[in-house]
Amino acid sequence: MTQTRISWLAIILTFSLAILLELMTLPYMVLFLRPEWIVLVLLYWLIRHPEKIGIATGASIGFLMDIISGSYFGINMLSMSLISYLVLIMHKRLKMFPISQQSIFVFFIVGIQLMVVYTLKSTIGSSDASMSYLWQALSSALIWPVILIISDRLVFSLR
Amino acid sequence: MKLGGPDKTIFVQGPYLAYRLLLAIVLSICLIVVDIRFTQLDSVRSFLSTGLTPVYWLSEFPSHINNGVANLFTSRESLQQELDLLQDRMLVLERKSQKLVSVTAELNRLRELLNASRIVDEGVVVAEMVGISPETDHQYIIIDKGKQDGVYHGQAVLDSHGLMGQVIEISELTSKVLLISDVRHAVPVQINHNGIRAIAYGIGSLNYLELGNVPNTSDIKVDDLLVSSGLGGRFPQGYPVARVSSIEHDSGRSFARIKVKPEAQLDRSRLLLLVFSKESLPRGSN
Repeated sequence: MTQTRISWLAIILTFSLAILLELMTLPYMVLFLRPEWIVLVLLYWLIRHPEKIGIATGASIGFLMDIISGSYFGINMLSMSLISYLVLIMHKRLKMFPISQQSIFVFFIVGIQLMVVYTLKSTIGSSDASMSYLWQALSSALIWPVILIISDRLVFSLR
Repeated sequence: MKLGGPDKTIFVQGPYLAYRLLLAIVLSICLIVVDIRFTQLDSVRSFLSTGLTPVYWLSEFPSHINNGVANLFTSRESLQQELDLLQDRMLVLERKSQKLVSVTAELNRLRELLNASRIVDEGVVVAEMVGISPETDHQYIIIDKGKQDGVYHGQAVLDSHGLMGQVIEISELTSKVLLISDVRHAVPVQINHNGIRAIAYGIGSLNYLELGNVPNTSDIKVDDLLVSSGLGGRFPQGYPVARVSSIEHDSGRSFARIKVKPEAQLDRSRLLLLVFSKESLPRGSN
């Protein structure tokens, strides 16, 4: 049971770090390449420890993202619960994938998440739709192995 | 989500997952609809972003450290140099402002002759940027002045070169400033030398705005300065907004395509000015 508690600490820690990274000021030139840190951390936990978190956690994290980004409440919540569901129904296969294949999967999942967010926003009328979010999905996929290694280390040392 | 002990490890299969998803989706759609339709959630948002102030502060921490280290290793000579430069610059600006006082007085006398209302001078408060929009499609910044400092909704924000944007959301200690380049933003302007009015729309790029509905025959040239016209009552009159950078005349269309470049350094300025009309200026500022 103590092991469970330590892992919750790791979950909170990784998400806090992701939020800080998300909010960090970047030069405008590289802003379009910023990986979706929070989504990546959620994916890590869903793939590695699906017994710990589920759709409810995904939805809560999405709500948090709504607060941070100042968009309409519910947009990120919807997209995050949707990708949580997608990952959870496939996580057994995902665990078997080599890292490169996982990265491709991450590209699609992050792409889906961003697509849902941007489609909703342009439906509501607060954004102009363009495909530039695919860059963010690409950078997220490229940084996925790093996230995997660092988070594994962190979780292991907190165990 | 709480899921029993290690003996219940069949956790993600079966219909429950789909029901949970359905519940989450229904809940978020309700939230979106409520948020769009009603204004009650605005106070919740303001309250929550007040709680987020330390997070914004923390996320700025690396750049603060960076600045601190840079200051630590600045040599005496370069500081002295900078000081000299700034003093020179101050002299020049002071001379200009001396002239400005007399010119303003003269202008007001002339306006009195015409029975027009006097131009009210505005005051400013310096604010520092503490965060930028985490979204790539929206352009706003977060500044370190909030309700406690008397910031109000719709207040104009400048940097040392020109108009930057307006306050759209206020929490206790910080507030959010929508930049003039955001797709949701438009600012009424006029051309400085001949007074032709137009509206500058943000198009989501920090480098360009677009002038809407300007007839092909208008007297606008490249490099003309656009200043805020004060129409609409949001922005004070006469602050530089942008400079015309390209004009395309398309004979198939009745309006010219005019791109203008913002005067303010939207992606670089850290120190900003909040414009207060003299009456609303908080105590202890100039």
